[in-house]
Amino acid sequence: MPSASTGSRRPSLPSSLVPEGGLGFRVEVDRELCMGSGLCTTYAPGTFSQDQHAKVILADPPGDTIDAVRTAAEACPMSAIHVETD
Amino acid sequence: MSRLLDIDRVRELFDLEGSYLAASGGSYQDDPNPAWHALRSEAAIHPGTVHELSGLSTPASFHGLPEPDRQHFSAFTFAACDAVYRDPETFASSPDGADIMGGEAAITNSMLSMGGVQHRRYRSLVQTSFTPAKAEWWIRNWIEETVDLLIDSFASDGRAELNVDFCAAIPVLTITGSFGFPVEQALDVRQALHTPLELIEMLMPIVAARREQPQDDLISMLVEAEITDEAGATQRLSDPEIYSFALLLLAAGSGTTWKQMGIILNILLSRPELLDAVCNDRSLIKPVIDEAVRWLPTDPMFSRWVMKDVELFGTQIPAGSVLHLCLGAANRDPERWERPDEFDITRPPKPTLAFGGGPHICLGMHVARAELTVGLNALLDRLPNLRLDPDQPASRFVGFYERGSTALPVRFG
Ligand code: HEM
Ligand code: SF4
Repeated sequence: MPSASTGSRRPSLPSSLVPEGGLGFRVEVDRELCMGSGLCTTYAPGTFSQDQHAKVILADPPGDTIDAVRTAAEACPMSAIHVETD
Repeated sequence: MSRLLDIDRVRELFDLEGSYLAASGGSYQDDPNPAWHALRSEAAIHPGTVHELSGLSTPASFHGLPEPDRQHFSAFTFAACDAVYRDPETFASSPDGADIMGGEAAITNSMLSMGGVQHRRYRSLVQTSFTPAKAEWWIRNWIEETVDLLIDSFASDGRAELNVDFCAAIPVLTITGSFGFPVEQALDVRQALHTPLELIEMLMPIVAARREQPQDDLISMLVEAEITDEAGATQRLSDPEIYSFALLLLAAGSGTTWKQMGIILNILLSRPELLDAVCNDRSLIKPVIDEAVRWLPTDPMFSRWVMKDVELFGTQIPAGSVLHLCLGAANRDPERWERPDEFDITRPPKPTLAFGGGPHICLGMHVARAELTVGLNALLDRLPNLRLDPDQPASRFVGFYERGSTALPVRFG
């Protein structure tokens, strides 16, 4: 598992909307691997965005269903997104 | 009636069955999917080229072809094609990379043929202009106006031929516009793709002008871009580097979206109920595009050069071979999609290989989607009761390595 980035996070879901006990999954992105395709932002726009260098930015907590985030991870051409269930 | 482009010339340059595109299998009339299903169910990977394995005996040239001195293999499952794309060190996009400063000017002497860090350095220079967030910039600067002018040219006629007069014109005008070419030069640019030195001559004055005074366009972005070399020093792109990007982008950005849009319109016009549903609910345009690029990707094959001996899904492939990825077959793999031959826009979102994968995944995919979306919306907004012309021959899908639609004669109003 590549090291996950911790920087450049932005909030998305208001914490009041996150179910107690968390979402049941965690997302990690490897910003070194990311090549800026933007695909993740089209499948899970509440969880992924891009900075001015086109590098992925991860929202904390994720603002999409686990299905959408998994689809984004599968779509990532660099395999830079990892989803783990609690 | 004022026309934006010389339509007869557009017809010649954008006729899949004509001589300009004959080399990539333009005369092919059949549906290759039955053959691909049979091949895929036998094995993930077969020795041979995709066209020969599919029963075509005429020679064809495309990415990875003809390469007569190498062994050829072809992959037909989603899993195999996906795995190859995700391992660019073993499966390189060219046999010997690119030599931009020393080599001759060619579409393939560009980032298309680079690997590893070098590819990443070049790709990151342009990537920021091709993100989903940048789609609005493309729409506002080039796509919207092009689409409107094209529809103006036939809106009062009650009939039109959409494959050439509309689908072909949008992407060529968008990408040439982004390089600062005036409309009158767009077709010269398209034609000159076969003679790169002529194209470079057409680019020279634009590059010089943008070095003097940058504008809000793609060529200015390239002129101002700074690249960092291995030693960490940054410098502006040289002229040969800019020409290399220009050749690649002008080639990759004009033909593909044309053919894909013709395919999508063919699908919609031959399904009037679906067309009606999309007309009334524009949120269906996105699933229509997603499903169309799965069901019939215009470029159904790209190739990789095998850099070391490997065993892949049970097949031994020696170093030096060319491995063809049949993306069209991968996109209809029954392991991944139920009823894969059915065109069904209600499928849950699932990534396809229509735009490739790995580090060379299509740079222009979000621009292409913007062109397709704006184009479809404008047709539906401005041409009421859009339908195939019942008095004209039915439109067909043709071509092998470049698939598209024959003429799309329509009536409206
Ligand atoms: C529906 C339209 C399009 C389709 C189906 C398509 C398909 C593809 C595919 C499959 C690849 C990967 C090739 C490989 O694996 O070797 C690719 C690469 C590429 N495409 Fe597209 N494309 C489309 C539109 C565009 C547009 C509009 C542009 C530019 C404005 C563009 C620019 C490129 C470039 C530059 C590459 C090479 C990227 C690299 O080597 O890093 N494409 N395209
Ligand atoms: S899909 Fe992958 S490579 Fe593309 S922007 Fe997201 S993390 Fe980066």
